[in-house]
Amino acid sequence: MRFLTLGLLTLLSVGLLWVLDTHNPFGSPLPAMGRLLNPATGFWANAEAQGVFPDQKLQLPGLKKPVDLVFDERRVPHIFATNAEDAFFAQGYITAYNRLWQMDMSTRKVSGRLAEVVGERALASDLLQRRKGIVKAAENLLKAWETSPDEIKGLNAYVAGVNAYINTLKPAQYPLEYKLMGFKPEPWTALRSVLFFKAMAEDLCARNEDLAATNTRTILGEERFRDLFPEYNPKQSPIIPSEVKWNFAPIQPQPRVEMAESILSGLFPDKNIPQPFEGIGSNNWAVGPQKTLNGNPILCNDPHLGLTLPSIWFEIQLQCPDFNAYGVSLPGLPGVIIGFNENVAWGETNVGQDVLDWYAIKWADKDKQTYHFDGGTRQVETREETIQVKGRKEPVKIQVKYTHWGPLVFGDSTNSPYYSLAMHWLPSEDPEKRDHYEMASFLGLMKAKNYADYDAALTGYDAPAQNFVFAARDGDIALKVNGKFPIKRKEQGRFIQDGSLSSNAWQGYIPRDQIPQVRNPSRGFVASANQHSTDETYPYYYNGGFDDYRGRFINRSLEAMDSITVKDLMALQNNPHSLQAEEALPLLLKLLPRDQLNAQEKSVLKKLEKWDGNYQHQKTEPGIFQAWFDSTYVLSFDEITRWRDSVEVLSVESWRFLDLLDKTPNHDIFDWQKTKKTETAADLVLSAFQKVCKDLSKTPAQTWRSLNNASVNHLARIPAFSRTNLPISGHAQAPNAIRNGHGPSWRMVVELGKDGIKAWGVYPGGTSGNPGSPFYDHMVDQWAKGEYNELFFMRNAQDTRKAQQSVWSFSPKGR
Amino acid sequence: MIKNILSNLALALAYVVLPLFLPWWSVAIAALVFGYLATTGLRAFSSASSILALMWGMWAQRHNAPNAGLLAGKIGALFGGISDVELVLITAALGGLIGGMFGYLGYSFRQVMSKR
Repeated sequence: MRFLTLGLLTLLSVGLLWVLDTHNPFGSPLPAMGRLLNPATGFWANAEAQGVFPDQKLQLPGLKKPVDLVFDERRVPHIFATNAEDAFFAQGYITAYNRLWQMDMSTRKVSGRLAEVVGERALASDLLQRRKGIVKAAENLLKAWETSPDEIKGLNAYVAGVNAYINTLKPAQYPLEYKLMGFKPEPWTALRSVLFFKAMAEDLCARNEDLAATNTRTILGEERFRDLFPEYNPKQSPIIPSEVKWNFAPIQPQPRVEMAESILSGLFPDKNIPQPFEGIGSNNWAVGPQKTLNGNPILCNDPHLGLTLPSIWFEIQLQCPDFNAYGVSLPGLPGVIIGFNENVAWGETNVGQDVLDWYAIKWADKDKQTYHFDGGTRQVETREETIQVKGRKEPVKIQVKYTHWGPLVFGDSTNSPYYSLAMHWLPSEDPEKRDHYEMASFLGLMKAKNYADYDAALTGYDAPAQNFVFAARDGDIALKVNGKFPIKRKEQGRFIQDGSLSSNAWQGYIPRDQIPQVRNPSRGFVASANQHSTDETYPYYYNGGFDDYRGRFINRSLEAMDSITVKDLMALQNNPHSLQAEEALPLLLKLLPRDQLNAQEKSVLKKLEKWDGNYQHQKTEPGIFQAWFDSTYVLSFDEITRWRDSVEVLSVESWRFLDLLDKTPNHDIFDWQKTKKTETAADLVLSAFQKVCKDLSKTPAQTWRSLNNASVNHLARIPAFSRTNLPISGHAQAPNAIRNGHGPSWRMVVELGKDGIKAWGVYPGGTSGNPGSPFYDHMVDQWAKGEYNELFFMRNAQDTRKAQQSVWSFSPKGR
Repeated sequence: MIKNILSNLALALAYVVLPLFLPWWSVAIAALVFGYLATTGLRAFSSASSILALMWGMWAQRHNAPNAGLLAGKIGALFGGISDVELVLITAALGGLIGGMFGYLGYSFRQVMSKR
């Protein structure tokens, strides 16, 4: 009896401990509660004391000489080293100190290693990432970076710094999310840094519309397709002003080849590739001395990305004899990506040029091992991918097939027995042999003293292509649409191409001296907002759909401005005015048959007529207008939108929609397919307006704040660690391009004075990635209000113009 | 009496020191040993339980107070809106449960061994 009692008691006690020490016990979503709650190593240990950040002295293996890290009142690290490698080592250490889990997760995601730590629910995403061949591409890029001495030395020092930090960690100090999710940090590698860079490339230059365009053309027929989807907006205000002439002999691409009819039978049903978010981009500009009040150039940049906590950016100053640079870095990469030094400032926006094309592979054998190519056949290569899945005993293994074009992303379980689609993506190509690559481009900018240095730094940069804006204290301003761009014949890569013909390959690359660029234009400013790079005189084909309202509005604003101050440009960055609304509202109002409105509808109309196109968060007009606009759009293009659930289709660009409303309101596209009557634009505008008014009679109008729900979500979407429904005015087509979880991820303004640099900046996040730190989200409210921090660009470690919170001194260990 | 106070102090110390070197559940081992040596079953249970509850509660609050409840409030929100103070109490209660069970288990072991 005693033994039985003892046995039961033992079972119960040990069982309790087991449950408390097991992540997701019995398949529940619960973390290991004992691990999480015990105050020795659980989440309590991540609760950071407010207002305390003590000085530290650390001995770290891998350093060459002592390094000082000075922390300012926002806990931004200012690193003072005697050589570049030590500076990057310290950057790696302090970035990992603040952002280790974020670094881990973002590289796991891109390389298809999420299921290893979160289990089945990430398997689909992992499989897709492996099929895209991202790891293979990263391995190839790392091999290239290894041939460039400065680049690899800097990267290795950074990796050593990250690992020096990881090696100090005891379980109690693991970042909170490791404890919640139940896994451990692992050593950082140079490959993971490159993978992070590939994640940026995927976010920025993997958008493609080949399938959608091919399907839409099949659905609409050639003539209507051309009518609805012109490639160039005549109102376009391109990045490079028209005064720039192209004084070179362009390389001529070979003529067009049609795809074999056998492939073109029907629609492409493959629909499982999530696309990067569309319709949001970035702004940057620089105004020359002749246009500013102080006679100094001013440079501004606000990159629009998915907004997350921890933030994608990490603010830092790096000083050593080679450079003294301040700005934002990416957690995972050494150096400053957007920032300034003592002489110059730089920033980036994304280039929309299409660098991802799909090729239809025609199989030559039943087992899909060989495919037709130029009259003969070619063999696929396979690479085995092994995915560890948490909760499974055996890993998942897949064979990814590669053609010479690229990987078969959909596998060969594609819906057609006759073809598979191979993906050709520029960042997956083997890098060309060069003296430096992307990372060294940023190093070059950090060291740059003038335009020539900027120019030289950018030559090694391939992808993701960026509009690099530049300003120097000597008065130069410039902008270069920089990257590796394939030469394509007109419309090449707009549609799926026949992969059995070598003539469908890209026709080489635009020579570096022929890429679009401008220096000190007569209008006194340079600017980009992801729109078309050039006007139509540029001799190379550009394919990249991007509504250009921001670009036109910013160019118009800067043209009109004079005696510009820093404050003026901050106001422009935060401007919630949508040129799209400004142009659309009068058109809709003009078309609306007023005599058919009832009293309630008239009162709604009266409200809208007074609206100025500013998406103020407190107002209800923006939401009413947006519903009217969107609803008219959907009714207008029912021929296309009804396909959306079954296959990928294109969306008519807003400018073309407005153009049709304006010039051809009787266009047969406005005829609603479901009815016998022949509708015109006016009918649809009325019908949409009445629908909106009817909704308003049922539920009161909502503010733009609640409709737009500007949010900065935690990377693992944990609501308690996220900030949602922020009061911020803006719209995807306004300079302040805030749309739900996307928007300005860093706002920076730099005045390059003769007596020195002054800069301001803010991002929607905080220095620390720890939700238990007061510095986790300390800049979010400030960012929402449109406020800036004056950036403390320290002259040296002893600079006390502003309060220093603490100093960490690193010294070498061992030897 | 003095012996009891001393053994309680030793247990309190073990509760804090062991998890600095061993996994968090090493507190259960401390409770087990304490219970094995305890004179009565009641004492094995109540001391092992109350002392771990007290240690965990104080320790959690020592993290929580300078953090002004920031993190505990967020973790509490994950579990359906528990406040930081409630979470400190839950932590203490969990400690009490573990300490008590293993304390009594230790005592039961000795009972079985000695009666054999």
